[in-house]
Amino acid sequence: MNDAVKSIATLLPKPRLLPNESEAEFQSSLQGLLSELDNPSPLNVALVTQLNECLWWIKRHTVDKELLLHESMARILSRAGSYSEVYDNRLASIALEGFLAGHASQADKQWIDELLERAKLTVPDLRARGFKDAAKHIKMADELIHRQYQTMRHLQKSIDTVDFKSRLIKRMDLELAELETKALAIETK
Amino acid sequence: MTTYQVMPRRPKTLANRRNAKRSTGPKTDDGKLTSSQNARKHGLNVAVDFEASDAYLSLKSLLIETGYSPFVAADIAASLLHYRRVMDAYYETYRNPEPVDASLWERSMKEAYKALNHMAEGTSVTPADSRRMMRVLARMQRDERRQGGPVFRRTADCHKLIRYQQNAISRLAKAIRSA
Repeated sequence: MNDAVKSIATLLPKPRLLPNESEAEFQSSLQGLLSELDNPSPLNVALVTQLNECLWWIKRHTVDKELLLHESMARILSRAGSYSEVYDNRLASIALEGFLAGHASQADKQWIDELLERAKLTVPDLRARGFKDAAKHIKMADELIHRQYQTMRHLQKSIDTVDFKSRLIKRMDLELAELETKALAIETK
Repeated sequence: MTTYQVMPRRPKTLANRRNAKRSTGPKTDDGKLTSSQNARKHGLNVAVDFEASDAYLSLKSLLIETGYSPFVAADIAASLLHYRRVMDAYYETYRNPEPVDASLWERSMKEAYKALNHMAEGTSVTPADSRRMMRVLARMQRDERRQGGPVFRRTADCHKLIRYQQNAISRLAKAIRSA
């Protein structure tokens, strides 16, 4: 299998990772998928690498769905806190991330509580309103995830096709070799 | 035979065309090269000839070695490289979405209006002009905020590439099925 991996790895551009992502984790997930191949050929290895990349895109878009919601919630809060003053979505977003994850500083927690009070909202209300505001983009993220699943289905079918064909070729080679030996035996008789 | 009468051009249109010919546009070769890429976002609409690349030739010969006919190997190699090209563009779009103009996003319109009035004191700018300028600025801010933050932008940008990925994977699957 290593030869097939090496030969295809040098020819095809590798899927790229984001700066905060672990190459080791990507490789370990790829090795896991490759170990399930019965008959690894260079083409199969290339297809499995693309499949692994799809899995990573699904992970990224799933995280983005939550981030979209948080960004939208932060926008509602900062709007409530400022009206026509400085509309600092970024600061509200950072504070809210910490608040929702439960590790916000005392000052941030107080600020978010104050903003919630000013907006006359509770956290579930804010979440519901944030979801409503970001619905269009959350739907887009869902469609992106769905696209990756469909791509994976295409890749899986292609892997099966390649696997079946290589098995068929091997079987035909064996049958041909057997026929040749038989023909040789008849000739020598 | 039906004949059509050509409508006379409006003087404004004619003046615009005359002015456009006289001015604007890049002058240097470097400037022309830069502006030729203005509308280019991902470059996936440009047809690429993979057949000249080393990767294509090596991939094709590797597939021929594994038992594919030269015709099928060529098709699979080109489809695989095309798919990679789309996924690289997808990555680039995700990684570098259109940047948020923070100065516009976070600007207080009330403060900006005060500053503008202050600057207009003693000049020929009338309060009506200031209000018109503020309306333009407010519209720009609204458009900027409507696009959302970085996550909103990258999601919307990647969403535009769905059809390219769909076409690329269909082409690859078809090439493999036809083998």
